[in-house]
Amino acid sequence: MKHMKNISCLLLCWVIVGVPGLGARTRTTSMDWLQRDSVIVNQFSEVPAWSISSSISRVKGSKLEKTFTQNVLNTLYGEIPGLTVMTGSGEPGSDSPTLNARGFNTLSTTDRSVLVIVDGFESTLDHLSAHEIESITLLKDASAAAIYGMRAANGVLLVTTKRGAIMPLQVNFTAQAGINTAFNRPEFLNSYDYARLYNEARVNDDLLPFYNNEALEAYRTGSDKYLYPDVNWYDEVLKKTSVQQNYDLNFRGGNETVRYFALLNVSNNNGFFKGTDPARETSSNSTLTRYNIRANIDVNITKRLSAHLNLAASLEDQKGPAGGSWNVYNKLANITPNAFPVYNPNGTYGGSATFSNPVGDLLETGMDTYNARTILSNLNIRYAFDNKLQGLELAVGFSFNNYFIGNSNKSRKYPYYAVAFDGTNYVYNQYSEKTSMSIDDSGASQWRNMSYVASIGYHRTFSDRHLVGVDVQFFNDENYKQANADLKDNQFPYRYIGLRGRAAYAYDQRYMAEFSWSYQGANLYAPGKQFGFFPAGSLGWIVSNEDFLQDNDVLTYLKIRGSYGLVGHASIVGNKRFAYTQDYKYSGGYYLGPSNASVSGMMEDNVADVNRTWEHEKRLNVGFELTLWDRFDVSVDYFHHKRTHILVPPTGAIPGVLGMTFAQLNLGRATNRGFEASLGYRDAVGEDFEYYARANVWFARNRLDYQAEEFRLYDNLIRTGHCIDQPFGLEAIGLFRDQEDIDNSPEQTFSDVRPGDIKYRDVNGDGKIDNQDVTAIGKTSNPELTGSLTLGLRWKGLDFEAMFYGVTGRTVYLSGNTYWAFMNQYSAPASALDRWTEATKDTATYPRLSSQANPNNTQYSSFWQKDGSFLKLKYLEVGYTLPIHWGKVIPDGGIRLFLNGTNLFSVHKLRKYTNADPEGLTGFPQMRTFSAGLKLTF
Amino acid sequence: MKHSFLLKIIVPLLVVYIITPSCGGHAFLDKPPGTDMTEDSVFNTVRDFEKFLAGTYMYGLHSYYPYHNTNNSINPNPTMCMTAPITDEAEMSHDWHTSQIWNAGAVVKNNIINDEDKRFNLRWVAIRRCNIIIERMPGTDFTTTEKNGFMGEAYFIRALNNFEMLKRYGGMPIVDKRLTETDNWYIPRASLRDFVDYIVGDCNRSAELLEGITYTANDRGRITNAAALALKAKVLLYAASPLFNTSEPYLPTDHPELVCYGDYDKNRWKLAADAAKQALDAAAAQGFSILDTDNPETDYRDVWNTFDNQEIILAEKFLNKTGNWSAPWTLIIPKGFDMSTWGNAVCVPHNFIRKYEKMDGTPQTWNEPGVRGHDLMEKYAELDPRFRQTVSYNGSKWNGTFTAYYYQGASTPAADVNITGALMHKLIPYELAASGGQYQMHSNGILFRVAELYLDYAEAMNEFEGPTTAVYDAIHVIRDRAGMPDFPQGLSQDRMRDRIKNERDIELCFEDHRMWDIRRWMDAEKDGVMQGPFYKVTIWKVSGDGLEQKCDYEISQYETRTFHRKMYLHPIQESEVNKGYLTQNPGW
Repeated sequence: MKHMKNISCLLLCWVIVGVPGLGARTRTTSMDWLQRDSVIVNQFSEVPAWSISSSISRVKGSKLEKTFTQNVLNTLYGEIPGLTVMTGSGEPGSDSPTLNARGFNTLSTTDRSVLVIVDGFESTLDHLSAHEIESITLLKDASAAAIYGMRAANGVLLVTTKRGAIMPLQVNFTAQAGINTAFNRPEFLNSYDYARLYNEARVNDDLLPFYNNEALEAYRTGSDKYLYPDVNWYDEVLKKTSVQQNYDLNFRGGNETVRYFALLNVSNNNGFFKGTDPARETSSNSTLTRYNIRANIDVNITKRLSAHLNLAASLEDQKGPAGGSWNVYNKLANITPNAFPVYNPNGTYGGSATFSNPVGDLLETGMDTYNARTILSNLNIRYAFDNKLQGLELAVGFSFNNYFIGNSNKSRKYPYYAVAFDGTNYVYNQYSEKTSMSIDDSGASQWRNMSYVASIGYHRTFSDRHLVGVDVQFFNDENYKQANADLKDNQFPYRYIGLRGRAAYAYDQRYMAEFSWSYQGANLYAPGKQFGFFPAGSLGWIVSNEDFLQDNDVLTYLKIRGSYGLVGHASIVGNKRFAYTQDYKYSGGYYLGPSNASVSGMMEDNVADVNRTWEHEKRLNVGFELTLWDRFDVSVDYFHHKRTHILVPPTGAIPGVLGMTFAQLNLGRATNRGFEASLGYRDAVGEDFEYYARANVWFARNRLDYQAEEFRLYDNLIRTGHCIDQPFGLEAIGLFRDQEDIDNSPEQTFSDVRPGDIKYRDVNGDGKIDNQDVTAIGKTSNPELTGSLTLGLRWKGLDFEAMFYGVTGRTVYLSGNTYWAFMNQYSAPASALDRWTEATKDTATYPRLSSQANPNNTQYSSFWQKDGSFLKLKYLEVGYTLPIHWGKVIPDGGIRLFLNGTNLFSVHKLRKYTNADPEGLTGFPQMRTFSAGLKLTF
Repeated sequence: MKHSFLLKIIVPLLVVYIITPSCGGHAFLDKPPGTDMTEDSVFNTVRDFEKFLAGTYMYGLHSYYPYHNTNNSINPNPTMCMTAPITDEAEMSHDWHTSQIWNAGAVVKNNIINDEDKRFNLRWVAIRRCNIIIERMPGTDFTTTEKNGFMGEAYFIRALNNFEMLKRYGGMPIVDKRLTETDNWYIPRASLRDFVDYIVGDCNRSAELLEGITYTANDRGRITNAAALALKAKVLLYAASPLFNTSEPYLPTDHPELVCYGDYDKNRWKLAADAAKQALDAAAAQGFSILDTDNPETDYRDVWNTFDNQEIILAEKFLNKTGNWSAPWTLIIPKGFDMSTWGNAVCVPHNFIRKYEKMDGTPQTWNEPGVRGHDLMEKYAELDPRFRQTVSYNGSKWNGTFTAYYYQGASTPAADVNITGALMHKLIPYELAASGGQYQMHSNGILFRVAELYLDYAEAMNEFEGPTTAVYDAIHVIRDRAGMPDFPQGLSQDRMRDRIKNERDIELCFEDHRMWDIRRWMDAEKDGVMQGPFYKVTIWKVSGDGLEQKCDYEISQYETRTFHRKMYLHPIQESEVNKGYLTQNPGW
């Protein structure tokens, strides 16, 4: 073991920065890190970290607790180099982000998700609690992922849950509660500005002003809140704060025979809707309450036979406004501030023919309720043949994971009234009417995975220097999906079957080689085309263990590794469950006879694609890990992924005379390249003070090499050669200054153009601006570059940690009712104040106003496309561990108190245009949370 | 050995697992038997096959109504219009109609599918379906009569769809079998000669197979022997026409064989005349006849207004009753009668109205443009009765409900659709109303009717042997029903040709004939046809009401249309040409 002290392997840097809590309060030598965390769990077994020559990224579960959020996926920002997390809504229960591993390399936008494996079996991560997770590992290169074969190419996340250990019972109790505020939200004009600008827009359109001076004055002074209201609907419907809380109780312990980890977790989070029924009978704030329970038990039945049982369940109760919070936020973005008062003089809800009352809609129209349950269970039985052949082990496992969600939507109508004044009295005009509550509980979806594995493994070290590991596993997976309504024939499960394995050899902790493979088949494909072989190999060299570096005090660790191999992606896009069958379907009827009796029609479905196969991806990965002065860690990976057989619609190349429609064909090719780099530094001053910093940065950019694209008239229209999802639009070159400017410019064909309208570049040079001038503009919404910086320190019992997270290389698009003034006679954003007028023509950032549809200005163009980069302080936590030992009975016990802030602030480039956040331009905003917590261990 | 029993459990378990993929794995991955329809099941029973056939009709047959079939992915769109406004029959009310692109001579090769030929791709689907039927039918265990009937229908639909391409593009690829994976899909265009022969061959086979096949009343709408012969007559008439039957293509080209015969052969007119005669005889034998009840003020109207009347040999029937808010009506009913949802209208220019003769068979005289006339209503009253049934003109009733006024300042219909002083009423059922009564109507989408055959016959006979009695007799049938006197005796062949062309336009107007007729006659470039000045009538009411009004009128030009000779045939959609297997038409 002479090399061990040098191996402060970078794979463990996550550990290094993830432990300022109770788990590890002291650091003596690097040996400690190794002894505690020198194993990596893969699909088959546990292997020493140093012996790995493939590329993986890992985060410890304790690190995930730093971000206070209910959804564990939202704790992954910046934590796993290569894994980019893209925020969705911030609404409790509907806040799962999308995960992309090393960007993406396929065309279908609906089929890019990573494969999630929990404790060895396909599962889900969304419904777990951060407290039950030991670690999450991203398998990045072919060598790590090849065993998942045709399901690996979009990335694989291996989740390991916490297990018991040989130790006395340890009880952990954590309570954390805090206040949420909305991170950012768009701003709209008040009534006076709205009316003033609307008049201006009318005049711009050669129409008479709509509001007279008396009305404008009334809006300005707010003299009549009923007839000239000025309502900030956001303030009326939304409150400033809500409450989030989480309570976790877990037990861990065991002896030689039985080891256990058991967990109970309750969490609750709430949205921002104001004044909803506390009893949740007639209306509801957005809320999710989740109960997690887990029991992971390891039993040594005999000396060689052991059983490992994991049982976990999650129950979720979600409620929210009728029609979903998206609907509420959409109405808030539409409604004008002067539409009507919230309440009329007689106490009824205000309203109009155009708009219902957002407050009434929230409080009177019912609620949506969802009940979900997730059950994850698996049992593994292992038998070690130590008596026959040292190192040989057989194991069988079975897993049953399922998820069900049912919903019950209560809805009703309510009356609202337009108020007017007839000279003496208020008069009311009723819209809609009161109905009793009706219930629709027909919606539900579910999935179910059932898997069996049987494996045989041989792991042994010979002569202290030859490390041999060979594993072969047979597996059989069956997945029922009834969530995706697009796929016909969902009653047929998706089935995968095959063998997978690895063979690894390491010599003298210097040279490593590994071959991993899988041979697997799927019922997605035609008989004879179902099976594929996915091999990958990797090599590693720990240079620092060579004699010539043995005593080097600067370069204390250096490992160089590289891998190459094949993985696949069994894409399930398209509307046919079995693309290889030639079906006929009902479509296109006719009528016959004197009274046109209906005859149903039938047609040939898409051409059977008997050659349909998985997407192939060849992956090259090279990297190194090094440590300087035992303190400074660097890890760099470069990857080059070449994907072929990508499903693309082939219509651009198939001749029309065939007379058939094609499903997507395996014709596309794309290349994805990038890197991940991590830097870590850690030092201590004496016993009491230590500090550390860690930076991750990763980059991925793909290129669409071939997609059977249709012929394009001009080069600027060609999509191939750009990255996948590249936005195409017109290139805005400012706003027209005057009529002379318009006269001297190419004709813009979308609508009549006036000074102050958006001017576009004649990209194809044909003298007019039309859809043929569309060209690649900006970037996708998915960032190319992601980075994070974690800073931490500990002084005696006090600990501090903060993480900055940022992305760049993405653009966002400001469009629709939230960003376009008076669109469909809706409201106007605050940015409309910076509109073009004769006086502001040099500084305007918004086109001239228009009260009518203005197709010229609403073309997809670079004008509305903005840099979506941002930097956020993702979390900051300060903790204090009381210097109390709970007597002699529980020597490791302790109390830690902490304060946490999550999503504290954001720096970005949109402030000039909107107050919204680049991660949440519309809809339910991201949450900023301040919380306090207590952790007891005894 | 304490563990031996464990070995006995685990090892066999493992063995089972590991054996499973090798012997049982394929069963595990097999698609379980389901209820899927396959081609075999389609051709297993007549009942299922007829569904496939119904779908083939839907893809394969279409009429003069604007495209509006949501089932085969042509969604209703207000920009769609009939072919009539591309010609001198009509003018669409708004700039966004695709006909305006033609009127401006601005048709482009990269957008022809949107500009006119929306069914370009669907036609290949229809042809494929026919090929499948022709391929599979002999192998079924249907009765011989059933097989013959189904095959006959398939040959007809294939012929019809190829004819639709012939009249647009000239010779196109002959796809006479289902293309499979191993076939060459990149089939080049056939010569015009081969393409005509191929279509006529299909018509002959269809007519032969359908000979003697009769349908019950409930099968009205199915293709008959007479329909096959009517199509054949039309194909041969087009083939004999000057555009194709010539040694000189309409524009110089390296591939003249794709767009013309390369020689003139008078005998082609004979073939056309014989085919028309054969079709007329078959139609009569199969119960189709001119709808003539000696009521000239309504008989003509009933041809399209009465559902499934005796004159219709074949009509497109893929829509059930639809209301005024749905296609096809919403695309053609005028704004202003409280009916149209898209706010447009099919306007009738004076270029068309002046073609109507007076009831005595002599031409109507109209004031020169710019010269105010004082007797508009009197002029209207003198015209061919078909005028009153075809055109919604000033003072006339729309469906007996509204009186349509086109004078200056009138508001029914809306002023912004009153472009030319008259609107199209033909094709829109008289009973179709905004609400109450008959607000949902069948569409009588005629593909072939008996009157057309008489006109085909008269035209071909006049070309082949001049204005003989046979020509006069054929025209008589049309004129008699319309309440118009016969053509005067002693017309020269040229004069007769002009009269027949005029009669064909009057009789078949708005029925998707004119556009193809003026191209095959090569008349499109003439002034006022697809080129040159287009005229409207401006009307001033002097006194009175309804048809009793006194009105002044003035004819004036409202637009100049542009026609390029390359427009004698459509361009082939450029994205398809760029796939490398089709030769583009001359001039494009």
